Amino acid sequence: MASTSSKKNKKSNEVTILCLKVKSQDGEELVYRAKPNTKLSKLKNDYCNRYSFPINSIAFLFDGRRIRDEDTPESLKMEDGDEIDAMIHQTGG
Amino acid sequence: MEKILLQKRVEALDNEVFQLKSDNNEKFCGIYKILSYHFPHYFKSEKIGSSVQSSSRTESNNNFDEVSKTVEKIIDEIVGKKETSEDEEFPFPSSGTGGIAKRVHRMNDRKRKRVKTPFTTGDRKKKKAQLPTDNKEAEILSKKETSVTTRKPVTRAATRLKEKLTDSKKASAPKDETMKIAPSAPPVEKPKTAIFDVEDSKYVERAAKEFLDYPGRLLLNEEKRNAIDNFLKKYTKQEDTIFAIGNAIIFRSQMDELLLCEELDTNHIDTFAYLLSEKNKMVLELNQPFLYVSAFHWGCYIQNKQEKTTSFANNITKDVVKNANIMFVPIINEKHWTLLVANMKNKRWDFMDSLPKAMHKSTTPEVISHLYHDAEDAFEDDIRTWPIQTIPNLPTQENSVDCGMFVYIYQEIVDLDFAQNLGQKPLRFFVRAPAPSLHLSQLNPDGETPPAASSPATRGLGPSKPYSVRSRTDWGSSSRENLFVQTSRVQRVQDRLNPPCGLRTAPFRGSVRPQELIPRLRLRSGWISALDLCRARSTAEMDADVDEWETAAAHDCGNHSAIIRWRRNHCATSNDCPRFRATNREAPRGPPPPPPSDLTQNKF
Repeated sequence: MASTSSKKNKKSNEVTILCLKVKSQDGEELVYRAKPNTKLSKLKNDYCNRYSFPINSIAFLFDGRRIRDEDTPESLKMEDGDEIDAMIHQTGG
Repeated sequence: MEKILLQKRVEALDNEVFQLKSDNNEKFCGIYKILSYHFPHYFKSEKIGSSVQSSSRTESNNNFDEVSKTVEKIIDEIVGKKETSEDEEFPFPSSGTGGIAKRVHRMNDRKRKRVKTPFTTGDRKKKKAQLPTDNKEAEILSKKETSVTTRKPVTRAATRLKEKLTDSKKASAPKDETMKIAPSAPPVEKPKTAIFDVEDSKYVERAAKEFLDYPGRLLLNEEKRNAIDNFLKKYTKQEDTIFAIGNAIIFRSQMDELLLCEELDTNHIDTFAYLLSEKNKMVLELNQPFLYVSAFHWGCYIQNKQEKTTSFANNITKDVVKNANIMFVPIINEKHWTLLVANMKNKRWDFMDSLPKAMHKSTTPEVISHLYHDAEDAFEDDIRTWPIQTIPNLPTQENSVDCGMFVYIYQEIVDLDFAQNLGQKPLRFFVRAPAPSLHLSQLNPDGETPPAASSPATRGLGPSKPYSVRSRTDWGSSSRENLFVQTSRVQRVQDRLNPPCGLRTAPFRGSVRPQELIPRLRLRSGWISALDLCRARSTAEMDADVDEWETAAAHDCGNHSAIIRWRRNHCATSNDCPRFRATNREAPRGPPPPPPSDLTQNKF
């Protein structure tokens, strides 16, 4: 189940890999390749790391639902090219 | 090597040759002699090599012509080579005495324009046509035509060469580009959006403090302090998820924000509303089903400017709307939380702002229309036409971070008020109790006594005292005006209402100075919600939670102290059941079991 096996999978059958767009509020887009059964927490982590946000300051929303750590593209019935909205929490005082 | 040297020498001599030629033929002949002597290679080879093509030229008797031709050829060669090597414009041999050569060149150009006759132009066209076919012929022709100066044909030929070269380059360049682009077309489009693999993700977790000296920590009793401390020790990473309901997730960092009195975000507000509904279920008669529109509904809309927010308003359906008395719509706008309450029975919007400013109200019509749009046909009336009124005399914040907390406090107050009035009377609590500070100051020093008993004492205190201490009159002119309204109103209310059955928003005992109360009000709610969150995971720990809620509620609503007393007794008998499970509902004198609380299908 290491990265080597996943690479093999990618080469053998690329149909199963989904491309997911993560759209920020400025309209910037990042495209992630993910297998249907990978946990989306990885995607969230990577996105936050890339923009150096703390992960708890962003809500990832798919179709108006917040993506939890244990969610997978399969469980959320995501399709290739679906968009995920990255929403920074608005604080108020 | 020799050739290059020679060419360079010829180049250096070039200018002088032209000058001399135009000035004096004799001198030129001399130089010709010198040249032919020094570079026999050119003069001889020309005669031999070009005999086929330029036989007519060699035959000409004019010695001068021959010389000029050979010189031209030499220069042509040199220039031609230069052109091939460099893309710059044709460099005039302007080194040394190049000024004149330049001038001559320009003059010639002008003359040519003047001499433009149909014949010459036609000739030129012919030349152009011939150029591609045979370059050497064209050169010769150009030499023929302009015999006035030998300089011009050289340049023209050179420029043509240059043109040709550039043309050929142009012709070849696009091909190269297309060749390059064609196979790599898809990658060219994609670089805007780089693709990353989810598999190789990295994230560095941040550690959280084990101990927090949050404000008011020492004011809590030992048990609660320990509960919070233990909780903080348990979750050591900022990313640890503590509580998740609907779209709201409370991380450890959010907990720190709550405890350290920082600004609150959408997660907090949603979670508070959930906890409120949970609390409502605990106290049976206070069970006031309220509708709640998630803070994400408006927050997401205003951030992304997208219309995809209908899913946040899923819980607003026709049936629910029919039965609900109130609906809370928290609004975040420009970093400020405000609360919009829909009074469903009276068909009115109440707007609550902890930082009263007319600006904050300006977004409400947009919020309402957005909600109406997203809820589709859930509302029978057009909620956009309901009047929006700002509720005056609210407890207001005294710093810049508490508005989120106050939104929760308002929800709590309105909820309890509706529970008392059962939606029959209009929302009058805030009319009766202008500010919590007032009420608190009226409380008996020992808060244990029920308000009904202490009402004569409160009347004795009089309203002047709290207002003299009240320091928040500088929130703008409106609040200053309110000051007078309030004093008179308080007198009226206190005379009329016996007992003042509003909410007491402070569970603090002993003498408390009014200006300390607002922060404490906030702290209290913060603690309770923090405690709620600490314990929300394990129902076994819910007992203390209920106690906390009861003490708060006991002070908050004097009317229901009986119910709460009953609740406490009941809980004491049924040890491990703080939450009124169906099995434990056979209370002797308890109120009837609550209606099925399907109404509170709030989506957070």
